[in-house]
Amino acid sequence: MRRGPGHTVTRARTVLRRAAVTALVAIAVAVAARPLIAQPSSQQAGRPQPQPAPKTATNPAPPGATAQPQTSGTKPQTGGATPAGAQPAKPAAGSPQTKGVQAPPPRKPAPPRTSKVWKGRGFAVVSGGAQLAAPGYTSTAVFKVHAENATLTANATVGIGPAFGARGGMRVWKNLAIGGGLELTSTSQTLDVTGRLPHPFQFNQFREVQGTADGLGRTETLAALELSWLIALARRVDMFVFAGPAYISVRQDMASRIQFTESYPYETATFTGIETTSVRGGGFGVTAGADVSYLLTKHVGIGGQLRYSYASATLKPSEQPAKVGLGGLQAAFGARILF
Amino acid sequence: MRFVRRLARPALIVVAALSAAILFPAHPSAQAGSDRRAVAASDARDVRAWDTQITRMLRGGQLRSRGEEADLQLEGRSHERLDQYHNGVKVFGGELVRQADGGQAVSVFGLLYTGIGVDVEPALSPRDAAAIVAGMTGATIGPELAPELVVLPTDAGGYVLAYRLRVLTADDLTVFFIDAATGGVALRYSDLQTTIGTGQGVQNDTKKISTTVRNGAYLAIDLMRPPAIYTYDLKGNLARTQFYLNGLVTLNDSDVAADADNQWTDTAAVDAHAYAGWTYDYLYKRFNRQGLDNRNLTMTSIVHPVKREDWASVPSSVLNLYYLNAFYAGRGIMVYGEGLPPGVTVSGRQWNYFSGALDVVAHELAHGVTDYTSDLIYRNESGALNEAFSDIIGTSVEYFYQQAGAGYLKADYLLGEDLTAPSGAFRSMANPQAYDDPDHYSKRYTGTADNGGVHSNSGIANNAFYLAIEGGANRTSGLPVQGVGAANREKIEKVFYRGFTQFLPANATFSMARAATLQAARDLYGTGSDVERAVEQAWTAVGVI
Ligand SMILES: [Zn+2]
Repeated sequence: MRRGPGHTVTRARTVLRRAAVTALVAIAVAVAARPLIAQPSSQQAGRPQPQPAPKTATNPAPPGATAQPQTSGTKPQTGGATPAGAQPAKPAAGSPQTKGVQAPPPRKPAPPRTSKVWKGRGFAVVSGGAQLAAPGYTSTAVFKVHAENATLTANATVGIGPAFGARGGMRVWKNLAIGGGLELTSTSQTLDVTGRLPHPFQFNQFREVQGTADGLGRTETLAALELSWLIALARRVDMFVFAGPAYISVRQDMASRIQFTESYPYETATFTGIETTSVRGGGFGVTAGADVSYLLTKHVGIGGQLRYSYASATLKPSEQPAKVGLGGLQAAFGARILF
Repeated sequence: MRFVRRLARPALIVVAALSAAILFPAHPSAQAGSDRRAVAASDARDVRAWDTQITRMLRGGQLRSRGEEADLQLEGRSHERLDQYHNGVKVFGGELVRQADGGQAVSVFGLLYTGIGVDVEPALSPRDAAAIVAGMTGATIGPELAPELVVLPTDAGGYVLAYRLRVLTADDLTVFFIDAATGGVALRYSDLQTTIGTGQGVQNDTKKISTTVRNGAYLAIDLMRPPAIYTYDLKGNLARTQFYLNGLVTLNDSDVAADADNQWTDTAAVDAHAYAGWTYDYLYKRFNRQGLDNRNLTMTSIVHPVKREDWASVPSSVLNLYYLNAFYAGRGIMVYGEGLPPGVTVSGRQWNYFSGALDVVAHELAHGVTDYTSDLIYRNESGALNEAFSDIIGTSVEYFYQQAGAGYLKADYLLGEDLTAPSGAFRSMANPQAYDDPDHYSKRYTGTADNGGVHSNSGIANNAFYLAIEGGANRTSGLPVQGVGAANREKIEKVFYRGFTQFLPANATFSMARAATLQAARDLYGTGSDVERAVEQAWTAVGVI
C-alpha cells in the first residue's frame, strides 16, 4: 500500500468521524435518560381511532394494555388520544363486553391498526449493526514488469462488516417526514486475482498467475435525503419505511500490482501477493429500507432497521478506471427517539 | 419535549456536518507543504552562513555528523557528512557534506527537506515491519537485519514515517519502505539493480536485454541467467582488445557497454548481449545444457574492437578479423567484427555489425560448446565438423526464435544473412554449392587453405543436417532423403547435438559423424525410427558412409 502525504489528514478525518458518531450516541443517551414529562403519550397519540369508544365506556384499558385498544380513548378524536392528564378508569373485572347492560351490541373486533396520524415533530435514530451483503466488482491495473505492460484483473468480494448510522427527520405532512440518514460501514474485501506477467527476455510472452488476497479495507459513508412514512404495527410498535436519493462515498484498498517470484528460465511465475493503493470516490444512488421500533417510553424506543442502498463509483487504482458498486444490505439495531 | 426538540436539531446538524466532512474530504496535498532545499555553497559568504546554520542545526538535533574523513587528494582538507533528522528520526536522503581546510569550511553541498510535519511515533514495531516484508517476499529475515525508522520524502510531496529494510530474495535485492502507521509499502525499489532494458538491434528491431545498474548507469551485465553474461564495448581500442584476449589486462566496469536510460541505442551491443542470452536459453531449453561448459561459464561478448572509420587504414589481417568476421576466442569470449561504414562495400555488399545476426552469435557460442565437449581439432575433417556443428546450432537457434522465411530476422538455412545489405550470406546449408562449398563428400576440398577447408567442407555435414529435416535430394548424388519435416526439427537437432558433443573424438572424421549421429538417433528415437532413417539417408545422400 502506498500512502501519500494525505495520511495524517486521513487520520484526522477518521477521528472527526468517530467523534461525530460518539456525539450522536451521546445525544441519544442523553435524551433517553431524561425523565419524561407528562405529555400526551406519543404512542397513544399515534393510535388512530377508527371506532371511537363511547364516552361511557367503563373499562378503558390501562396504558400499555393491548387487548382492546379501541376502548382506551375517552374522547372520540381522530388521530387523537387520551387528553393530557386524563386518567384511565380502573379496569373492572370481567369481560368488558358483558359488563354494561347499556353496552352497544357486540361488534366484531377491529383489525390491527396499520396507520395512524402522527402528531410528533420528528424522529432520530442511531443504530449499529452489520453490512450483510454488498456488490462485488472487477478492477484491472496495468503496471510495468520487465520493460513491458503487465496486467492484473481482480474480482472483488466484499465481506460482512460493522455498520453504524443515524437517521433523522421532521414530520411535514401526516405521517410523512423528510430528513436524512448517514451510514458508515467498514468491510474487508477478498480478491481473486489473475495476472499476465511479461517474460523478462522476450516481448509478448506472458506468464499467467492466479491467487487470492484478502483483508483489503473498505469504508463507505452513505448520506441520504430520505422520505419516511410512519406505520403503526401495534400499540408500541411503529415502523418507518423510507427511501430517497443517496450519495455513497468510499475509500478502499484496490489492487495495483502483483507481487510474484520467478526464476530461470522464467517460463512461469508464482503469485505471492498484491500491492494495493488506497482509492477514494463516490457516486449518487438510492437507498430504501424499513425501521421497526418498539417504544419503551413515550419518546424513546429500541428497534431494528434493514436498509438497502446502491450507487456506483468510478475508481482509479491506476490508469484503468473500475466501476465499483457501492452500498448493499445492512441490518442494524439501536435507539429511537420520537419527539 | 422542548428539550428533546432542542437536541434534535443539533443532532441533524451534526449529521449534515458529518456528511459533509466525510463526503468532501480535504485533498491530501493539503498537508503542510513539503519542500526540498538544495544546498551548493562554495563562495565564502554562503559557506560562512551555512557553517553557522550547520552549527545551529547540530545543536538543535536537526543534523547529526556521520564523521569526518581526511581528503586523500588534498592534504589538510577533510570532509564531513551530516544527516538530517526530524525529532530524532533520520530523514531519508536529507544530507549535507561539508568540506573543510584546516578546520575552516570551504564548501557545503547537499539537500535538506523542509516542512516536515510527520508524527514520529510509529504504530508498528520494527518486528512488525520485518514480518510484513517477510510475508510479501517469502524471505527469511533474521534479527541482524533491523528495519530502520526514517522519515521518507515521497515523490508526490509530503512525508511518511516508514521503516527501511533491504531484503535479499531469490532473485532480487529490494529496498522496502514500510509505512510505520499502516503497514503499507510506501516505496520499494530494487537495489540489486538488475533490470530489463530495451534496445534497437542492428536491424532496428526492439528487443529486451538484461542489464545491471551501477553508479547510476545501466551496464550490459546480465545477472538474470545462471551464468553472468557481459558485453564489453572496447570503443575501438584494438590494442586493449588484443591485450585482453591474450590475458594481459582484465576488463572492468568502465569497459562494459553502458547506457544512461536503459533504452539502448548501441545496436551492436544490444544484439551481442541479447543474442548471447538467447543462445544460452536455447541450449538450456533444447538440450538442458547449462552454458558453454555445462557449468554456466561466464559468457563475454566484445563489440567495437576497432573503429569503423579506420577501416581503410588498417592492415588486411585486421580488416578481415576485426571488421569482417566474428570469432570465439576461448574462455567463453566472443569477438564481433565492426563491419564497415555505411556506403562502403566489399564483395558488392555493405557490412553491418557482426553481432547483428543471431545465427552468427549462436555459431560462435557453439564453438565454445565444442571446446568443452568433443573439442574437434580445427583442421581438416574434424575442423569441418567443428564448423558444421556451429552452423547447425546457429541455424537451429534462428528457427527457435524467428519465423521461417527469407530476409532479415527470418529463420532460414543461410548463415549470416542479417549482416549485409543487400541481404547475402556466407554459406547455405540447403545448397552449399551456391557459395562454392561442397555438398558431397566426393567434392570435398583437400587442400591446406583454411585449415584444410574447414569453412568449406562443413557444407557436406550441413547439407546432411538440412536433408534430414527437410528431405529432398542431394544436388550432387541425386539421392532422395525422407526428412522428418520442419515440425520435427527438434529431433534432428537433438540427434546432431548428442552425436557431436557426446560421441565424437577430437580427431573425428565425417564417417565417425555419421556413426555418432546414427547412434544418437537410435538412442533417442529407437532403431528403425523415422529419425534414424532420415539421418542415415541424409549422410548417404551427401556421400558419407
Ligand atoms: Zn565458425
